[in-house]
Amino acid sequence: MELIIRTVVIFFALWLVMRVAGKRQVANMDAFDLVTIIVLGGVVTQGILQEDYSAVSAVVALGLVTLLSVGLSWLGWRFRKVGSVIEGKPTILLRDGRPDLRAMAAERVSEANMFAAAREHGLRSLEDADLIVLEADGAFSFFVRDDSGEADPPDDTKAQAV
Amino acid sequence: MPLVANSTIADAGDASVAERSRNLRRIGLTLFALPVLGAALGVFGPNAGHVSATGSAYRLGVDYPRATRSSIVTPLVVTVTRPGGFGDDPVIVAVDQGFLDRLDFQNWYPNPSAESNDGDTTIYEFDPPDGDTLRVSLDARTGPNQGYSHNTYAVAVLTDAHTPAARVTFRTIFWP
Repeated sequence: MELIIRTVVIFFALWLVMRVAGKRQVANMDAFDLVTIIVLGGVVTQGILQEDYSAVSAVVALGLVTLLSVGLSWLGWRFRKVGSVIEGKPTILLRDGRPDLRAMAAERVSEANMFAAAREHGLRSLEDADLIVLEADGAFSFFVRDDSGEADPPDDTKAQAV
Repeated sequence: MPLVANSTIADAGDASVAERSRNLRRIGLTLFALPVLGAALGVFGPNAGHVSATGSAYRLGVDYPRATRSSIVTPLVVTVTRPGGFGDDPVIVAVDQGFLDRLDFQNWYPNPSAESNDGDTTIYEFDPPDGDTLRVSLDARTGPNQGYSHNTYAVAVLTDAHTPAARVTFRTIFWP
């Protein structure tokens, strides 16, 4: 039972770390973030298993983390409001080719980050983008203007992440 | 290298395929839930039981592990009572070697004054206590690299002639 309590507490502590760290931390890891993740892994293992090196405990902890993860995902799917709390909401960073500097600052996205993301999506200029959205999982979605210069409407059917 | 096919959605499934894999995932989640449920119910230990027996003026009580797993603390407490005290005679306790072999143990508290082994059993001699009860506890963990086993083990208090005065048996499940 102790193992179960430790696993649940640390799972939610980790979830909190991910939510507090922000979207960008999740998807765009630099070298320091990678080190943090490795250190976190060690700390978490120690915190959950402590001096218990049995295979049974590892399976129990693994199973419980999987169930909690699926459970959170189900809650997010079933209850939309809960979903935005669990996973966060997307943020519009650029509209009509104009960056929203307040949104960028709030999400700690620099101009260089936007340029890099635009290059990764095959854009030479931010002016080619109609809308740039930072998704809840930290990925960038781009809505580009079509060849006629008209912006694609950002609806589910026509929106396309390039 | 030429492309095998141009379509990028040729091997994408429809809703029925997704539902089939969802059902398989549910089976997998149920399998994961079983050990979690087992742990919640204490199936994998550590949990302790108690057995006792009397004979030849001795009363023997043993707190033992019902279930335990690799590397965790394994309780074993032996309490020997003899109304009127033990006099100058040592208290002799025999423990199945098979049980001790599964443990990674530090020591008995108090320490035995003598120890011998006949292959199947380890015999400890303890100095007699001042009162009429001797309580010894084993500071031990279940050894690492254990496989699953469930066996019955015995602990006995012996008379001077090394014949059992009182004997208890208990069953312990060792989980890997």
